[in-house]
Amino acid sequence: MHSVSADHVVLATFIFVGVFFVIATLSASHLLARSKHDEAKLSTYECGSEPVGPPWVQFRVGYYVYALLFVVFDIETVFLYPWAAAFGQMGIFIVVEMFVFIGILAAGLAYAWKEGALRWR
Amino acid sequence: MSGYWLLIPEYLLLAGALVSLFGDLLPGGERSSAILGALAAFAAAAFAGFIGTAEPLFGGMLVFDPVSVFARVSLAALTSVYLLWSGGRGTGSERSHEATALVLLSAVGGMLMCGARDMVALFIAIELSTMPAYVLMGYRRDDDRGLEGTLKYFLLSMTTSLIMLYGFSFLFGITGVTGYAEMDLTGAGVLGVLATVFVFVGLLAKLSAAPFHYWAPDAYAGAPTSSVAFVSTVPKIAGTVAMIRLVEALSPGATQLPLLLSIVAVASMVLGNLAAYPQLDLRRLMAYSGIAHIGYVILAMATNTNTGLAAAVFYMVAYALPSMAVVMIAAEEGSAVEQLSGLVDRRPWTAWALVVFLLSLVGIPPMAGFFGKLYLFTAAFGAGYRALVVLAVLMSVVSAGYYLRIMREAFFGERVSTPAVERSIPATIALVLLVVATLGMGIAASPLLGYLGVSF
Amino acid sequence: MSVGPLHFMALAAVLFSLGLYGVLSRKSTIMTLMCLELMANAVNINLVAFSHYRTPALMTGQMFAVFSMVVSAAEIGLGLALVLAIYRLRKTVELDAMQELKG
Repeated sequence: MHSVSADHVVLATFIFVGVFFVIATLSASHLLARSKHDEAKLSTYECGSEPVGPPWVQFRVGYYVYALLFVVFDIETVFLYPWAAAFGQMGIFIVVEMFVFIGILAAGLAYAWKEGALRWR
Repeated sequence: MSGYWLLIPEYLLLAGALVSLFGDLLPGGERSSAILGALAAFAAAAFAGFIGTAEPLFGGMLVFDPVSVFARVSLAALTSVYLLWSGGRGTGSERSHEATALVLLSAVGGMLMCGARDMVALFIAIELSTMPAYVLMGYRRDDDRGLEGTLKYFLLSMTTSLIMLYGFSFLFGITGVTGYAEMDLTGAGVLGVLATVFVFVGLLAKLSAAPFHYWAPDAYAGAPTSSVAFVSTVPKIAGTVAMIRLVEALSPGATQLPLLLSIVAVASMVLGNLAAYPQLDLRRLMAYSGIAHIGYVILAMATNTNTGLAAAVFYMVAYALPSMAVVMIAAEEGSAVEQLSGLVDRRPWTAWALVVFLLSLVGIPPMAGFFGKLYLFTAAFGAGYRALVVLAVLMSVVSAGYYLRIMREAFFGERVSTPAVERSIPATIALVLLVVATLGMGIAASPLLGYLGVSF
Repeated sequence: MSVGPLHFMALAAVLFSLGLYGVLSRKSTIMTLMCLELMANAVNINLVAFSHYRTPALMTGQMFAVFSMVVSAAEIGLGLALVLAIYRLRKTVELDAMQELKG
């Protein structure tokens, strides 16, 4: 138990210092800096470029299809990683199996392509 | 790794699904993709029957015992008949090849469910069989009510699957295994009870058993009738098999299971049959009647005897055949009960086929439904559920009322003129096959149950 | 005090209950879908924790969690497609507006 409580002391110190640092810097800037608001200062900071339009716009539905296709292949890698780690021990059959899996996904992609989901509208 | 050939039926269905995704490029277009799917499903049924029982696959993940073989064959055969019907009918939609692909994918999931004896395999198979079902239900993207029904179905189905999965995670935590073979809940205490309840809540909701049935009437009433014919019947066969396997696996440790199942059975029988009475929409009526029939099946599961479980699977198939046929006729003639009136004048043969189907659903000999009920109730009676069997028999008598109302409408209803339905040879063949199967299953009930390992 | 299986179970239980509460009480379909995702993640925490404490060598639970993640991603994709289709027709995704089917 001793080592655990020592860890806790370190953790508590860390949290305390972290919180103190944030409060200290923020209040220091609040006390020291003069506040003068003008229009340019109040506008949204967009890495230096001029903001165009309000930030709460709806994204085009068209992006949704891309997100969906991305998820498909994102998920595919979830299976590819353990497969890549293990296929050395499992022999040739597991290689064939993974190609069947990718083939099914590819058929899905080909279907989406055929239906025109990849064309930007 | 040998034994992959045991999955040939699934490969056939999967190949059929992938080809029908591109069905509009085939010569003959939409219809040929459905007929191709029907052929693939028929070949799958034939192979599943030919392969028969076999050694377990993947270290016991999938088993091929008589129950699994029987369910696999009937599931693939029903899928084939359904696709034959829908291909012949030609829904008129330019996207029906997608429906074919979805039906085949759902059938793959269902067939894997029939064999699954492992929580991971079961979970994936369940999701594979239900996910295409959502899309089939919300198939008409311009139909407001259909999408609303689908959304309700989707939200409830996903919530209950997650509850079931939460139960699975506890089962895994308690036993340290995912296969049913080594699963032992004895002495698991409160956590075991909790896990069992979670798992069964999920499965019962998929089967639309009584306290978890809210989605079914709404979803069916909004969906295209032709999709309901598939979704309300075929996946339930697989669900029944999945459930009897879990009953078998969990019963030794979960002593309250028979009580839980009996309560659900009573609630389903009573609520399903009584709520079916006032319904004017055939889809809604069949949804409630489905709830009632699931009640009988769960009564047999509560016994947890070999006889009871085999009778449950047999009954589920005996229910699925005529139920699918009735919804098919509703899809052709119109979904309101009164639209059937005068059917005997317009299509006398269809009207008499409807009589066969409805009498089988009531449970009149020599139809499949009678023998299904006979074995079901005998098994439950033998296991000591006497009062419940009496109630179930009473409820089947009650159910005769609303089935006879449909018949009365078809034979003695006012002759209303409805637009003539396009006749097609494949659709007619499909209905004839269903009549033959409904009668044939009744006649062959004894050898079939003998195959399932039961003798009365 | 060290972290044990009970802590993970408690965390999962809290997350799952929050998700379930959200599913039952939220008015917006999108929020309901997010709550479903919360429930799915609770299950994954349970599975991974049990895997760590029960079968550390086999990693059965971890594989189960991978499959469950994949399935829930697919489900959410489907759910969002459904919500989009409804939004196109009705211009709303509030569940209270889903009142056409009754019985």
